[in-house]
Amino acid sequence: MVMRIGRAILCSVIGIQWMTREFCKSAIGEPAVWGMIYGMIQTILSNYIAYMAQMSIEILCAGVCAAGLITVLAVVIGWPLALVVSECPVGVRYVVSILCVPFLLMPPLVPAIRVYGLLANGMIMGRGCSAIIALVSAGLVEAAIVSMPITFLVSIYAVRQVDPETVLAARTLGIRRSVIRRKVILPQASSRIMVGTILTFVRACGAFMAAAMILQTEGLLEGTVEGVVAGLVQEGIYLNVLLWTALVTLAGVLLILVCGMRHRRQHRKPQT
Amino acid sequence: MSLEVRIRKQYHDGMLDVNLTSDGGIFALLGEKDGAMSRALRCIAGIETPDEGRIVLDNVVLYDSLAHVNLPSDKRRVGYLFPGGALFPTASVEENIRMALMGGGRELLESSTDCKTSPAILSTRVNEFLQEYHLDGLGGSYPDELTPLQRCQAAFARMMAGNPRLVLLDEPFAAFDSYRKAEVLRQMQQALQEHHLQAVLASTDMDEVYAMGDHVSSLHRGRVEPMQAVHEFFDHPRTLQAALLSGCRNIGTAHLVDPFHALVPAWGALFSFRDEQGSLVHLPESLGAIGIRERDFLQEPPLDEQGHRIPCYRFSVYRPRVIARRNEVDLWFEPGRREGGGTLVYTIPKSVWENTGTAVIERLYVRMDHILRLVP
Repeated sequence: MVMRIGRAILCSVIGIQWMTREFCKSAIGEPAVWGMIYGMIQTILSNYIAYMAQMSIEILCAGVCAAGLITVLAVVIGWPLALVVSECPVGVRYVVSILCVPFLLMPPLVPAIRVYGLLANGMIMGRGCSAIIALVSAGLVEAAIVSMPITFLVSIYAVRQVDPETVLAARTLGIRRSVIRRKVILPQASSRIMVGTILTFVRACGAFMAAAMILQTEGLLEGTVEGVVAGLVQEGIYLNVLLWTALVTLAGVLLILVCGMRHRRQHRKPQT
Repeated sequence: MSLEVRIRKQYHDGMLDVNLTSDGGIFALLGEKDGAMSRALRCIAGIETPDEGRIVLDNVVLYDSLAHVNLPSDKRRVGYLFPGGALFPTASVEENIRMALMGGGRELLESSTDCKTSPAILSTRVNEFLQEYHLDGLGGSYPDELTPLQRCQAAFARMMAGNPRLVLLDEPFAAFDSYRKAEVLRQMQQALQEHHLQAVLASTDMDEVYAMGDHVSSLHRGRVEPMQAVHEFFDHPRTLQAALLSGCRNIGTAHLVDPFHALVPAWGALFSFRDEQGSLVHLPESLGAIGIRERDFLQEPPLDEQGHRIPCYRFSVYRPRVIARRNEVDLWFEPGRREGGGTLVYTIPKSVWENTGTAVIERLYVRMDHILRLVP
């Protein structure tokens, strides 16, 4: 029974991750509060999932810490890079942005699970110790190739959404560029960057929960997430898959609708 | 105070060709809503870089393509008032002004250039700006809490806090109704005069230009036409585009019959002009149109102070149609007997119209010196 629930929840995590990506694409321009609400929901879900899967507290803590590390790394590299690149010529911006896209398209868990699988199988080290090391190393891989590009893209998108006339006005007022970045660009982009950061963190959390669950289900250690889903379908647990996916999809769609309505209300033309 | 701009820049939809000089006061650019005026102002402000040319402000070269000089916008001390104000949305009005004072307005802070050491002076100056620009009690408000009028006032105050040598006004009154427009326009005009600042106003509204400008140029298809004093521009525009932009509604395409005569086929009229000695005036070869202002029509032949008749043209009034407006009446008529020719419009104050009526108007007169000879 526990195995079944665990597998079903795994599917929901994959669903949430997909929704996160979609949400990230559609709702970057939304206020931070909605991103935070969505992030909180997903965090609660991730923790609930971990609890249901009877994951050990050590692994859970290590996962969350590693997710935090990923986020910090991604933010430390992603934000400044975005600020610098946003002032580069259009060609450079496009090239750097396009370079990030393949990473976004890559199934996010694949590299993490590969490394994790090798270590957790005890092929390199003993099983107990290797689980922690696996999480951290997988986290670094995750940070380097997936989370950082996401944070970078979110940040550069947020900077590009800043009203350009305010930046130009600041320049004609003789304000120094560093001051413009700090007092004009960042305050305007901060809510969107915050949304991206929260989503990066939540996404990283979700990735570790899924990886940790794979560890606890011996038969699923090898292979990719897509393989896991295929396995579930082959075993005929359609109801669980359907239920969780539908719930998550519904929640995501509702949130996006609410965000859209709020966005429209906020951008209604002010009365003269 | 002087401004000299001679620049060219190729855009995907046309060429910007600006050639203007101004020796102070408010210079107005009157044009269409095609973005060319904003482009011209952006080049002067250093936001965009021209392909070639030269911009000199008070003997300081801001841009010179031959000498490879291109001062960045933050070093030019050219204030730019954006159409929506472009206030920093995450900063209050007070903070907006404070940032401008700490930027280009450092010279306005009396004691030192380091604002961190003189917060009291900074606050005092900010309050002075708030008072001077009618923003009392709004220092703590954020841009989205302000009305468009207050936003414009705040943006203007911020721009002035940046201590500019030249002010560029990019359609600042476009969002206002006529009453509020008059109010802001008066305030800005007063502030510019008090600070002895030179300004360039870009506008599509001839009333704004008439009320605010000292000199005017029309901008047509990216090209600035020769500058004229504001009254001269509205009374005697030289070009077809200037006549159109200054509100002339009777314009007929003209063909030169000989060097002294121009025919307007649509009106069935042949025009010739005489100077004060009575000799025929040589018409420009490039003459493209004849224009008559709708208020220049007279119901009686004009006479001078001695009672002598002033040279004028006479137009017959056929098929009149009356369109009443709030304070005026437009009398549309055809000057030719044959139906389907061109139409002309005569604008009469309502009080005059109520005394006369259409029945008595069979002929209208226009003084010869009021007829506009327009080149393309």
